[in-house]
Amino acid sequence: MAHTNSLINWTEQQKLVFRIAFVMLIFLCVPTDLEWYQHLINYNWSALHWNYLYSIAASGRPLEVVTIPGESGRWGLASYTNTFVIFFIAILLGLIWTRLDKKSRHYNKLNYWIRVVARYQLGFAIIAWGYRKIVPLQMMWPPTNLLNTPLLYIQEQKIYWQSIGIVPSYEIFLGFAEFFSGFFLLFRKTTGLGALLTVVVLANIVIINHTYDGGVHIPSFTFVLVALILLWRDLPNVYALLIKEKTIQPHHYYYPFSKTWEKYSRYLLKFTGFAIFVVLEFFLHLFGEPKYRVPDRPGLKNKAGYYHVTEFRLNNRTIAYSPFDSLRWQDAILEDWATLAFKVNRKEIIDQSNGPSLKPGGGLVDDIDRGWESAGVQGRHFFYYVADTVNQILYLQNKNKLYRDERQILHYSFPSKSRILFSGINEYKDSIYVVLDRIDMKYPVISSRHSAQAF
Amino acid sequence: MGFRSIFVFVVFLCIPFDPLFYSGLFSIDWTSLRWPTLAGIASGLGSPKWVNLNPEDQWGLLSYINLLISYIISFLIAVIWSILDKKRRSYSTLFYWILVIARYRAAYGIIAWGYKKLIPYQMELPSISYLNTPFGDFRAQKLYWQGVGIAQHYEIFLGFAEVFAGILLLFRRTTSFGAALLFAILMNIALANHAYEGGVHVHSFTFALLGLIILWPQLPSIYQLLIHGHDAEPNIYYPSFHNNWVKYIRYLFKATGASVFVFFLFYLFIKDDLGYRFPYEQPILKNATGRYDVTEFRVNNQILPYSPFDSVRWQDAIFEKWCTLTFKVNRKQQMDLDNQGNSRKSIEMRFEYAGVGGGRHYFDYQIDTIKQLLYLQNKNRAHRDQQQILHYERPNKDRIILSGINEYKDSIYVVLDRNKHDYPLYQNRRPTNKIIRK
Repeated sequence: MAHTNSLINWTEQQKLVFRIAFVMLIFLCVPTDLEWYQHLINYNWSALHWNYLYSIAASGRPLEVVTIPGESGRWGLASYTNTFVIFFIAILLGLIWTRLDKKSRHYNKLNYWIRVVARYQLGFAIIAWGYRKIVPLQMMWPPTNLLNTPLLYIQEQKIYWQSIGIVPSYEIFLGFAEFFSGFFLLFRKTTGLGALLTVVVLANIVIINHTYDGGVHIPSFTFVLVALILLWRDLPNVYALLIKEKTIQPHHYYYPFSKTWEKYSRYLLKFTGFAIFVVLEFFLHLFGEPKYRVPDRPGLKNKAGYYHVTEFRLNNRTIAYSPFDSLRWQDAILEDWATLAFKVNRKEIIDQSNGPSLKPGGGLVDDIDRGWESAGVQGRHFFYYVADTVNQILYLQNKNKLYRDERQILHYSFPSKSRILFSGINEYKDSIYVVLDRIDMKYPVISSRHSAQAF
Repeated sequence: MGFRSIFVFVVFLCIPFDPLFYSGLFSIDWTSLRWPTLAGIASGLGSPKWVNLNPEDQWGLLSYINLLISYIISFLIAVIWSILDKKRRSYSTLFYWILVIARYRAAYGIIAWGYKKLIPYQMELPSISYLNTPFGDFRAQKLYWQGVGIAQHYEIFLGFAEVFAGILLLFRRTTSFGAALLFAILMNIALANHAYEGGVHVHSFTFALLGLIILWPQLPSIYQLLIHGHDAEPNIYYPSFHNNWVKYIRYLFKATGASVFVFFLFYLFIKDDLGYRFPYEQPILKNATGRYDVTEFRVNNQILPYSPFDSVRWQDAIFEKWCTLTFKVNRKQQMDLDNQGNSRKSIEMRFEYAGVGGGRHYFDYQIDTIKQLLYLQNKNRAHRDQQQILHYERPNKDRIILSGINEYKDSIYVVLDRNKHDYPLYQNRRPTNKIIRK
């Protein structure tokens, strides 16, 4: 029979392509950074956190041979250098392998197993990405500060993320698209479908990350690449069926698992993987911190909101409102969490990262380092605070890593429900006295839905 | 039976039943044809309007009622048809032709949609007023569109994806790929429109439905091949085109359709420089574009100091690149939820103020450069009665002094000074750009 023949005797070309693809998949799927293994081993399992499983599943980095400095190395074409380097190494090793191995007539078994590795690695990784959106953690509801920041002062990446943050239902849908891509990869029969879905969903993410300077184009592209290699087998068949309109007889080799121990080991591994990376991980996400991007410490109770600066005294001298003043606050915002942000006309170099709050290898960074709210936005200075509620004193510290030495100590009191008085020492050791009045804001982004209203 | 109801259903979706469509078609002025007209014809598919919806019902499930009624009527007609025609054993030829109609209708429609993004008209770069509007003062729909508008390359990619799906649908052999792509893209658009209340969810869903109907015959064999790894046979039927004249008519139709809805429409798109969302062609106050601080503001000769609470005193002012002056005061206005308004009259171009709040008022102006007068009218449909006549003076490059009668018939005197900003939005996240926070 012709088809059994084509399974037993591979052409030279097929063998060469397989060897290169095999090496490539090893490089792309097996984490090569030492840290990943350290985290794997040294973890405190009793304090299991969603980010731990997430980082095991999704953040093993493929081989990085070179680091390209400069703009292009981070954002442009040169950021793909490592992918090219891996590809060339794969070709090289593939050629050497061809020289050494003249006997093998096919690689059916090896092909089967490398596909298993790639499928599970990719599947679990994308499921981890998807869970963060299904349980809408990744794009959070915009902080009050962001709601009051003009578009002009927000970087593209932040606008994109926050414009998804305002529609949790859509974020959940995007999460499901990722989840199903990964979930289909976990089953032999639906692998092709899963790989196809992965290519479509993740290629879009690659483009978004380029056009919005999102910064995760390389991991997304790696996913696309692995999915394409997995899909390769089915492409000629789909092409022949739909475009050439021919009848197709597909032939795939599956490892038979004929021995009992093989069968049970397979079940055991599959079951364990599922239990940890599909079921357990989901519940860890479900009970994860919904606002992990911002400090855990709660803010002053019932005081969150947008405030006008009714009076501002510096060393006992009243300063009138001016958009040009470098010391007088123009407005102030208290978040639900322990952050005070205020607007002054004073230069500060802004944090251009995504404001990461996840510790590599699991857990969250310290409160003050959770920079999502302040990264990539201009206009206000952000202070983290610890409140001494007995003496009514706030100990404030600038969240920006470059200005951590800026500290303020402010006594607070509440003459009325919507008024706050601050008095104390500001970040320049001047004494200040500030009267804040809360404004009831009605944001169209929240309440414009359905019926026309005035804003 | 299944075929018969699908047949009638596709006819409902693809063939316009609204007499307005035909009267519109015959009243087109071909000498000054612009792309919105032709693109509207191409993409205007959808169920006949059996019932009119209340404005508040157009967002939820009820908005699909016309599609549902169309399907129910199709089903009833199919029942009658089945009773009348008991002899026929298959409808292969008719099925072929109805799919041809569905394919071409969906293809031309989605190509017209795609062109609007490929040549980025649909989501424009934000106006200066938008840039100075806080995130929370936009409607969700506006944020979504402007979120795409700031990344023009992404918009072009989205447009390319739509056009590509359409082009695949134009060829028999690539139809299945085109239909699958159409379904995937348009389902996403439909869901995004629900989430952001964009308003074109039913239209997008209709496209997705057509994609699904076109793909339907191939699904079993794709399933066999991909999921089961079994032998798979393509499900195809072509009527034979052995008559020469049939063949030529087919070529003629194909060529005409492609020339009009693919090439000519593309040409109309690229040659258009009149602006779509904004009235670029109207005369404006020259070299004044930018954001201004209000250095002085007098009402009836009395100076009003800056206050975020004042309902009359401007807090800032913006001259756009077109004939619009906007200013911020602490006074609310009716929000316009409508996303339409494609007129050549500048005041009717409503995209500009629709879906934005925050106390910024949008005034359309006509300029008299000899008398140095601006005739202003509030663009907001609910506040069109607000008109101002302001004289302008320009003592230097960055200062504009406006004086005259405001919308409450008070005399005002305003000194504006241009404010120069770094725009972090347009400085990419490159390490060489140290962004300074002001």
